[in-house]
Amino acid sequence: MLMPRRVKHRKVMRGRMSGMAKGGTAVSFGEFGLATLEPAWITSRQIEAARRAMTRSVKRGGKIWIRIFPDKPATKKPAETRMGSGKGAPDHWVAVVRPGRILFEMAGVERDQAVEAMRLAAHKLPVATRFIVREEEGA
Amino acid sequence: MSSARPALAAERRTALLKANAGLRREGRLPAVVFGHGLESSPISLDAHEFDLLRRHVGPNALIDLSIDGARPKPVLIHGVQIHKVSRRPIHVDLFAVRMTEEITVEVPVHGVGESEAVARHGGTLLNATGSLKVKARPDHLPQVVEADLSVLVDFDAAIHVRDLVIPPGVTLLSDPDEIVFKVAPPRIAEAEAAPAEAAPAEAAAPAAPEEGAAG
Repeated sequence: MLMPRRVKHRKVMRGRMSGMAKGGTAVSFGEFGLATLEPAWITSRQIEAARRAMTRSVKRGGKIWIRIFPDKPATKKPAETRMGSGKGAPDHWVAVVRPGRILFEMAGVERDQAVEAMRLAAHKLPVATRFIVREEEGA
Repeated sequence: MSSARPALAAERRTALLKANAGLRREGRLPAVVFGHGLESSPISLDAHEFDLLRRHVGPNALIDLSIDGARPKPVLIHGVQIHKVSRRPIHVDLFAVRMTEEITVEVPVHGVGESEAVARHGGTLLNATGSLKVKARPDHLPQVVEADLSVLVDFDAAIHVRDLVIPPGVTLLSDPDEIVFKVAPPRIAEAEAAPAEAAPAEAAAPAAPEEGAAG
């Protein structure tokens, strides 16, 4: 699963997810893309599950790009713990996405195959998504 | 004016900045037309008409733009701002060209034919560059530059900018050594390796990576 090799701070503040994506909103590498329509924290497990779903769907051929990286540590308190006593321990890694962000890209496959692969991938994600074709976006 | 070019009707626009939201609700699309020696002027287009036109003409097609029924002027679609979520155009830049003056544009590169590395060895065709920067007079602008993919016989072969056939009257500005098309080896071996590689990382995942001063 994706995770940073080294971080400056072990725990970070949660932050806000208001507004739309600032960058990464265009299909830049492949022919097809999957964009999120909602803000969310996407965990490294969800990214990996979506990647596997896409890879298995297209079987051979095709190339996949993962356009997000889970670089934010999410913490969790142990089960049955009373509130207080400070912030929990780092538990997993998340990527913060805002509406419009391209999550995955794909090339070298037919459109129908890409639609199906992205549909399966979208089922592994906690957000509503949209399938995007680079050519239709135009200039 | 020339009737071979597609026509587009526009109206002068007084709504600026946030007032454009009302214009978009009425099915109009804010745009601006500018050019060498011309003062830029805000206009509005019919959003549906523009959408149809954009689907039928290439990115570097000249369009006859008529503002408030005046004499049509040749323009190029210079840029289209797309809404990040709805993926619909929200603003258009139109460049009024002078037919005698050379202009610089990006021309898409399309592959024709079949690559042996893709058809027989199961590789993936990668369009690394996507477009070329060229300079030409507006009536000589190519809509597309074609690349013959049959030369891509193995995974080491690549089509560079210098291999492309540029039409006469067009000057190439892109780096000749830039790769345009390449075939990547099939991903199957890499995909099998990925889960195996992920296993040790998974075990270590809850533990935070080393905390250290970054740069």
